[in-house]
Amino acid sequence: MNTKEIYPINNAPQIAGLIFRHFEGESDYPKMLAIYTNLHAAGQYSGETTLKSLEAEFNNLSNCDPHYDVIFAEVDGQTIAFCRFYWERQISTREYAYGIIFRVDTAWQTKGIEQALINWGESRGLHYAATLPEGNVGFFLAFSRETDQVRSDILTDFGYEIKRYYHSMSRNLVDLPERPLPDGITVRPALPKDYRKIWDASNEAFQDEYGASDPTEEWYQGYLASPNFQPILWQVAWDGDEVVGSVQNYLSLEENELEKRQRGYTEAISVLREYRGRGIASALICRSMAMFKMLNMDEVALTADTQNPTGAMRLYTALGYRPYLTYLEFQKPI
Amino acid sequence: MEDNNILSTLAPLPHLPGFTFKRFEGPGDYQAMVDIIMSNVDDPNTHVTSLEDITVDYAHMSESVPVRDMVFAFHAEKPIAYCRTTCMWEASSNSWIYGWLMHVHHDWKHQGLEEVLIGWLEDQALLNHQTLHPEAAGMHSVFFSESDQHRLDIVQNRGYSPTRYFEDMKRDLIEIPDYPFPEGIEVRPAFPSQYRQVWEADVEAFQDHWGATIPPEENFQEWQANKNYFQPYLWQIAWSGDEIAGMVWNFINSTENEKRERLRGYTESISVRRPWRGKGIAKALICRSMKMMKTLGMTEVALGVDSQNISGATKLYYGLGYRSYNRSIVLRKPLIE
Repeated sequence: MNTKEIYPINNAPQIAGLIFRHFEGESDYPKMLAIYTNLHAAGQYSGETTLKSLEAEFNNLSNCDPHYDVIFAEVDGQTIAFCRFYWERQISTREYAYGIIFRVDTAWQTKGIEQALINWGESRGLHYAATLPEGNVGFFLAFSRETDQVRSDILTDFGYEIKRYYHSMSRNLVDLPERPLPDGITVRPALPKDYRKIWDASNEAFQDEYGASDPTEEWYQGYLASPNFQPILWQVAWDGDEVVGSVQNYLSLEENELEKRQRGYTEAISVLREYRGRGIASALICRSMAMFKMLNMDEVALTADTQNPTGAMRLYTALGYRPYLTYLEFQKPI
Repeated sequence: MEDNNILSTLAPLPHLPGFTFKRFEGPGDYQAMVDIIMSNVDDPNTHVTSLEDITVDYAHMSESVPVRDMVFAFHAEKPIAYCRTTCMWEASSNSWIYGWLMHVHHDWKHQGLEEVLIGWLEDQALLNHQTLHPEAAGMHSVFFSESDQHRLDIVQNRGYSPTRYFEDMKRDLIEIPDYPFPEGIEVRPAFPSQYRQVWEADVEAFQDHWGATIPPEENFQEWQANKNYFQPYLWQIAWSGDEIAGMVWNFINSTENEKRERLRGYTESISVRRPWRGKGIAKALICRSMKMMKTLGMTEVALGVDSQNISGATKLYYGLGYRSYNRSIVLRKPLIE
């Protein structure tokens, strides 16, 4: 392609034919998917990414301009890595987080490309931070699986430190617990007029979560467009006309086929602060499990912050969820 | 069909004093279609739709060529009605079936538009038949609720005869019967790579039905396009090893539920393939579907059925607690009298 926009990278490794380029639009989705597919085969990634999910993600990026904030590495015309930068403002601390998402194809790992991408991501963060009235504040943010020693080592070498642990947890659907809803709380399905209300209520509840950031309109639009937006499967708790809690269940038949399993996700579990401690989350999760069982799923799963202040881990453990994967959150001050 | 062929097969537009007529011009017409349909939303037989639904439906259409087969009526430059003729092959009668649909804005019903539009639909269908299938047999066929007396009178005056009756049935989800699956049958979801198998099993099972058509290949894509109906995660499928024994294609239309202020799930496209009939698989699948709908917060389930179905489907649904709430009628007449 003669219109390719080359991105000069300072510390690029000496690899014959290696160039860095800008995002080229939807023709990049299959190239990114090919990298995810190889990472999946190598056990470094789960199969939750599809062409549809990439399209939904890139059409609705929040605090990320794909022309400036995404780069791709190519060798002899083959795309072998990419990196996406985004920023967000965390609610609890009002700190700016500069997120760096980088993926390097299995055959091209540990050749210096990761370092070049992280370096580029940090330069985007510095560029953004320089425009802030507060000056250069905030931290760089990246994630790794605990089992991905190579990735963790690279981040550590760059001065990143582990700040938080997240567990992906699952449980089977053989013996299901039952928990009643408290008096006065009802469950009814989400109708289109309720979507925004449910989104707002869950954001309000998530303000208390570690790392929660200001919701943006793009984020909402991306959420509506995502293949995982499946309001028919949600369990929503109401106090009259007010949404007080929800579990935004979803499942991906594509992912289940790839992973050869029947899994439903009980995700985005939230209860408004003033309604906590009454068993609403437990009741919604139990109803979600019963629902997934009727949808012929074999297991349910979720990912949770191990240090969640509302005691979420204890709740999930009591309901039978067990960790199967740990994610590390790495940070480095700017 | 190629564009240059279309022009030679256009029936003359209808005439009616005070109105003008135009053919379909493209996606810019979709909003007018939505507005016309939704002007009749107080009629419980009106199918709730949206711009998104219409866009998806018209992006994949094998039964009509819209620029040829659709006409809009205007009053004072405002679109107030539209109609479309359709064509499908019916194996059981060995003939091409020309159906149609027609929507007239609520404020313009029963003022003569219906008659002229139906006249045009028949002309266009005949022209399509003579151009595309001159050697084969053909029939006009229409389907609508028996409660639409006005439309019934018009088509009967034009020589259509009642041919078949369909019941819309529903039931609540308070007490759900429990029927087990026979030995050797397992219920599990279909993976996306199995959608073709699911589709073919359905086509095969429905070949025994009155009015079954041979769906063209494009229908396989059409079927997957409209997310208000295509909800594979809600299907209940009975498998015998790797073979599909029977299925229910459940779906929930949240937009319709919101508009109609109800919580209804559809237990539709119920089929059991021949080798597995008479073993209670349909019953077990339907009961499982009802329980699933209940866990999804629905308060009723509904389906449509051919009341003369030879497999005794109506009786089966009645036995499971479904009751008729509406009857629809198929009327037909020969293409050439």
